[in-house]
Amino acid sequence: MSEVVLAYDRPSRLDGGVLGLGRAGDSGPLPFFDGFAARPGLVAALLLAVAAVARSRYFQPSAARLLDPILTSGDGRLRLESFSSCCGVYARADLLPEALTGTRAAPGTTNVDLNQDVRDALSQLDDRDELRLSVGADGLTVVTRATAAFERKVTLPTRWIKGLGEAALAQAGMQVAATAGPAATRRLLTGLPPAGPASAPPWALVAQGRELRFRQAATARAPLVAGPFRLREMRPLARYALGLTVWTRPGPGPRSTAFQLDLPGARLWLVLSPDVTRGFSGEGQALGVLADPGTVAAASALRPALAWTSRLDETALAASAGVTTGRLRQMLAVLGSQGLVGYDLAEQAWFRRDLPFAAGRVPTLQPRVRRAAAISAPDITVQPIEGGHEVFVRGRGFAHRVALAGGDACCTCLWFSRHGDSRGPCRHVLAARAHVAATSSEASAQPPAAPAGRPNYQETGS
Amino acid sequence: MNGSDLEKRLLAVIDEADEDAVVALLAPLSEADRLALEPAVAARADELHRLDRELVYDFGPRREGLLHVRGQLQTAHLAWAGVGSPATWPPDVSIHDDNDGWYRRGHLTDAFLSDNGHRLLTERRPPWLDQLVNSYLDYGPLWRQVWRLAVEGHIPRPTADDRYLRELPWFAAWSAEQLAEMVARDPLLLEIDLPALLDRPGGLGLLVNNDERDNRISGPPFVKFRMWSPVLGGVLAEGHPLRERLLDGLFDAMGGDMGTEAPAYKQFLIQFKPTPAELAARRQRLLRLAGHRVPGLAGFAVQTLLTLDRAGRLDPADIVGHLGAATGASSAGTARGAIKLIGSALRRRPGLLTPAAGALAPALTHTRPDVQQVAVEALLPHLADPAVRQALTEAMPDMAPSVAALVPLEKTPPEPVPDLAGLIAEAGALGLGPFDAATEPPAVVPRPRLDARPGSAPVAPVGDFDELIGVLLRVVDVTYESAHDLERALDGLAALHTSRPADFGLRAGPLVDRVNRHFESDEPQWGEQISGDFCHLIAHWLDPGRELPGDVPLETPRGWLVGRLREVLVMTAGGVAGRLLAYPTDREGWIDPVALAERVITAGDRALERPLDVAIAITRLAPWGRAEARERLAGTPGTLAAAVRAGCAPAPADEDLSGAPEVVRRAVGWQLGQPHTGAPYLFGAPADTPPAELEVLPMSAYEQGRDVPMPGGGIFLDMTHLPEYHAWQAWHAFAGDARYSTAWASTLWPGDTGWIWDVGLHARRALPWLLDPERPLPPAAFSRVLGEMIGDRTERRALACDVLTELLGDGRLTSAELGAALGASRLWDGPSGYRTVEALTRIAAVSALHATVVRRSLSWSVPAWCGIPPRALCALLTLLDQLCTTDGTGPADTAARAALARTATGRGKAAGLARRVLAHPSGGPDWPGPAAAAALTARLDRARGNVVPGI
Repeated sequence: MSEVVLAYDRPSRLDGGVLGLGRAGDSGPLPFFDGFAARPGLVAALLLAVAAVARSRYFQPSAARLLDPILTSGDGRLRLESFSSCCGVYARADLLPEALTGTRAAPGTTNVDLNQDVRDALSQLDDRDELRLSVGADGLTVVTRATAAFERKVTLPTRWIKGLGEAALAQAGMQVAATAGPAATRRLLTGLPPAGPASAPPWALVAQGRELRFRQAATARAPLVAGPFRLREMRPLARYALGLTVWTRPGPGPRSTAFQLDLPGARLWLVLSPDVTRGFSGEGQALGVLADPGTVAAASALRPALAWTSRLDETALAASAGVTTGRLRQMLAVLGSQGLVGYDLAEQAWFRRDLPFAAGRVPTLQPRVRRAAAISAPDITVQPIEGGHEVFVRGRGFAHRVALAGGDACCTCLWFSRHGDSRGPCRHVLAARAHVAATSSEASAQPPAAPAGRPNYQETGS
Repeated sequence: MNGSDLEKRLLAVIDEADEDAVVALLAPLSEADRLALEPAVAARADELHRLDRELVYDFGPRREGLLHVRGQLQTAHLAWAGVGSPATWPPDVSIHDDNDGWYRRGHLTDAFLSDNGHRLLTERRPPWLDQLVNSYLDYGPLWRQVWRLAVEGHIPRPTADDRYLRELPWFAAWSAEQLAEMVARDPLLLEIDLPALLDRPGGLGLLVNNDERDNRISGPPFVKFRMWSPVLGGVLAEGHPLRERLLDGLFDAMGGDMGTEAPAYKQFLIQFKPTPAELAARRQRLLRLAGHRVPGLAGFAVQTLLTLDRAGRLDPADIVGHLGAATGASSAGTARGAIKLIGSALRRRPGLLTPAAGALAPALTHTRPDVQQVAVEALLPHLADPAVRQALTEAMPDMAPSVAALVPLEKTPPEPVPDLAGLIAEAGALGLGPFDAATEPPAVVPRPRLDARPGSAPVAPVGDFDELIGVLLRVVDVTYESAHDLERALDGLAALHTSRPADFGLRAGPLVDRVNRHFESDEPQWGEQISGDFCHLIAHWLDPGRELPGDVPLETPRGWLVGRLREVLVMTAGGVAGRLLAYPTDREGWIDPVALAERVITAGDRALERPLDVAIAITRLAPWGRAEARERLAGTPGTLAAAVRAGCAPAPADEDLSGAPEVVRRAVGWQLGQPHTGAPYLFGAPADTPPAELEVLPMSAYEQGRDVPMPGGGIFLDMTHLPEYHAWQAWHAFAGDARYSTAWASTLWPGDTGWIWDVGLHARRALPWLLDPERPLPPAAFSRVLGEMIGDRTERRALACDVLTELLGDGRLTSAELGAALGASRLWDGPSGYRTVEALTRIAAVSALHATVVRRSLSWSVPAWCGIPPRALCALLTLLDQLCTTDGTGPADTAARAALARTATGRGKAAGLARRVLAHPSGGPDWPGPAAAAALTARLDRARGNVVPGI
């Protein structure tokens, strides 16, 4: 568990049509934003949806840990992110430049305080009202009237912090699986299956004519969505919907699924974990690269070069860093797992976002990498087999057998038995790969291989 | 009376349990006299407390005196309250820290709570009264005593005390009548206490959340009622500041970011009964509330606005401006109400047409056709307006067919009908049919026992030691994907258990660790669960010399599975290695007969030492390649070869099976018996009727249970005399058997899985299997599907709906069977009716074929609809109307039309819908081209082997 102190420069308040949002953060530049919402009712509904996810716990309902959403300003747009207490749902509202008028902005990331009073006031807004969004303390009357700073202490489980970083990685590599028009979107969201038992099987999202339906019978190419009731925060926005795009990685079985609700001048994203009982924290999307100290160091060196643009230009970044785009993607994956960049599927690009509470914490939150590194060389025995290596990794009284063949690996440990390669490699595979790479002069020149079926953070040679 | 006499007299009245006498006796005494009596009273109270504890756990004749002792105990504590002081009474302790102490203090609390206790205290007026009141305030249930003391002037009113205000909403009264009396007696409650409560953050929430009560304390019948809202709504006159404040507070809260607490606020407001004038004064809030994200609040607002609109208290522009969101509300009633309001506004102010068209747009594509229709009817008179035309044109592709038909605008051209004649000719060439374009083809009946063909993915046996360890780990960890992994593990162990590589310990280490962990955590018994049984098997392999478990009777699938495991266990114990005969060659569970012949030649008659292995190998014989297998085994000596030859024969053959175990002989007989019915593992013997499903013992059983003291203390609830207890035990014994593994057991007899549908436990697990078009649909399975379709679990209902969709799509189910099933009353009783309509609506939306089959089924079942509840009937008629519109034909059957005509005679909604259905021409194409083409295509695909399993 990590205790995070959010020191706000003022309490948020909605007064006279001006929404002044208190900021908190200590890891990077605090953003400044001042502009009017073109559709106040829509923007209010978006803020409420993101806040609702932050307050929700979709598995083992209990007192949710209240965490305020995270706001990133950059390139004329605002992104508001939140993460459910159960670590299974990531939400992001993208307010695009056309949704905001008369904007003055400076880039940065901050936590914003959406307290009950503000949410109550937002609930009562509609598009005929006026809403001025104000983030920051510069030059606004409403801000100077209410300047009482305050602190809120939030105890965050490690898996929560880690999961938020992993949720960004889960999106990289997703492809469009289904789309729906406005009417079909409204109908889909109106008829969401209700919450069932945690053991309930996933639902297949199937296209039927102009409609999308959640079915219990899987069909080829239909994405499997666990607990679609977790999309319920999209319902209040259904009336504004211009369409819905569903993203997932191709492959069998339930996968992380991203739902992109297109709205006038905005997008709402909900990314659902592959199982209601399973958060993003254990997905291990980038463990392969995180276990490579060289890549981690290179990623740290890259961080100052990241611009506050809506999409990071990989080609330009790679050129400035003197690496290939494949290598750059590995570095961005490391930064993504550390909460320092997010992924925008619509732009098919990473964007800079410094999670205010993650700095300095996330790198220590990969227990599998840590435990793999703790396995000492004498405890590892390697022998060649046809097409690869057979590695015995000694543990408590016995050894696990790891078979490495190209990018594939299998292990005799319980983790591998339960998850296979769907949640990243186990610590024995990580240790075995590192050992084989270290002892093989040929392999040592290559970064560790990602398992088959996982997002490819390998060098592509481009 | 001197002190001694007084004490004797007080103890005597305690023994008589005479509370009034205690109060009378103590009334004239000074504090000093009272304190002098305390040691004796306290001693008697403690003595009675101990006696009470004894008798509670005494089930002998002494227990009869318990009631009297309770009375004495209560009287003693009343006396103690009258003579003791806070310094001498038992301290307030937590029940978790001091159970006995908590009870002792509880007796005293009861004394304070009684009227006699209050009388005694007010007559005594002790110097430590403030201290006592303070302790009262710490303990919520004594709140009312504080209030009584304040009202009677014994203490100052503690309005400033946070504890007093916080507990007020819950502890003030237990009924509306009691609260009304309280308010009548103490007007300051409304003038001081409640305003002070509302001043506190969350004060209104406390009042609202403590409004609903139930009479649980006073016993059945269990009734819920509201307390604060009706009393305050009745007592506070219109214009009263507190009334205004409560109304404003309620509307403010409901308009905010409200979630699960919304219904409580809404109900409070409803029961508060605001007047029309009060609601009209808050119409702007109501208009905003109509767009609230909580459906219940939006619905409440719309219904209230309808009332205000009828009274002419709403401005049309306000209505059109605010109700756009409500027209798309998930609740049809809310959406219809919003449309009605907009229609009314439009009539009063036609200039609002353009924004009104925009506001009605969500309703035009609502999930409910009736909502769409109301919206369309509101816009049709204004079709000349470009905004209206645009809204309707954009929405038409997403409208229900019957609603789209009402719009006189250009429709999307229908899809071209495929070449039916060509499809019929193609079917004829493949030997299917005969079919004709105007008649629904009969249902397809898959016959896996006869028609199975090779081609399914082969199941590769375990090849080496490391692979064996891997598959055993998955079985022990219960992470295996299918029953074939169990077969691979069993066969691999049987074949490789004698191979011990030099580094055996190193390679088997993880398996040893996992088996040990399994035994440490679960202590599995033999025959209890598959993973546990494999652990036993592995333990026998890794640690030989253990005692063999006993046989399990072959009366259930579990008996067969456990028997197979035991046979391999005997092999490992005896050091005998070899591949199993029953190892399937494909994922459907079949064994290629030629492959079995080869195994028989390799194994010889020694394999008969594993009679279950042999018997299952025979029951798994695929329908193809049998002649070749017999040819391969021709001349092979031995009973085993003879048994397999006999099993492969098309008719009883002249083979000598006298040396074969009985189960093998019966398996051969089962293979040759045509036709086969009943559970395959019983070889024709009748199966016992499964006991009724009784997952949870009913509460009545607990109430009728007998308390039996246990020798070591405590109580045992004996229910062995109750029939429901025995029924519950019988079910659990049966369910334990059935739960062992439906999936694995079903592969033992791949030619017959009909037995699965006879038992609910198996059927629920096997329901998804029906998504596979090669699975037959016996009547029992169809009945299970329909049962799940109307069940309580959403995901099960959805699955059943998907199964029906597949069944109709691939031709295993046709209008005739579905129509006959829809006549059953169980599909329409209670909530089932609406669930049935919901499922049929979803199925009909899938394709033209599904829509037509559902329409024909509904048309056939119309005569059986007489008892359907109105809500379900209306939904059913709406669906039928939609489907008739799509196909351009109405019910043709005379009985159906007569039944509809009877329904159409009334004036209700159902009558109107029935008239609409009857208005469709009855002479239209009953089996339209698109449906005919889809049905023929499905049958052609099946004949060509192009069917794709649903899962």
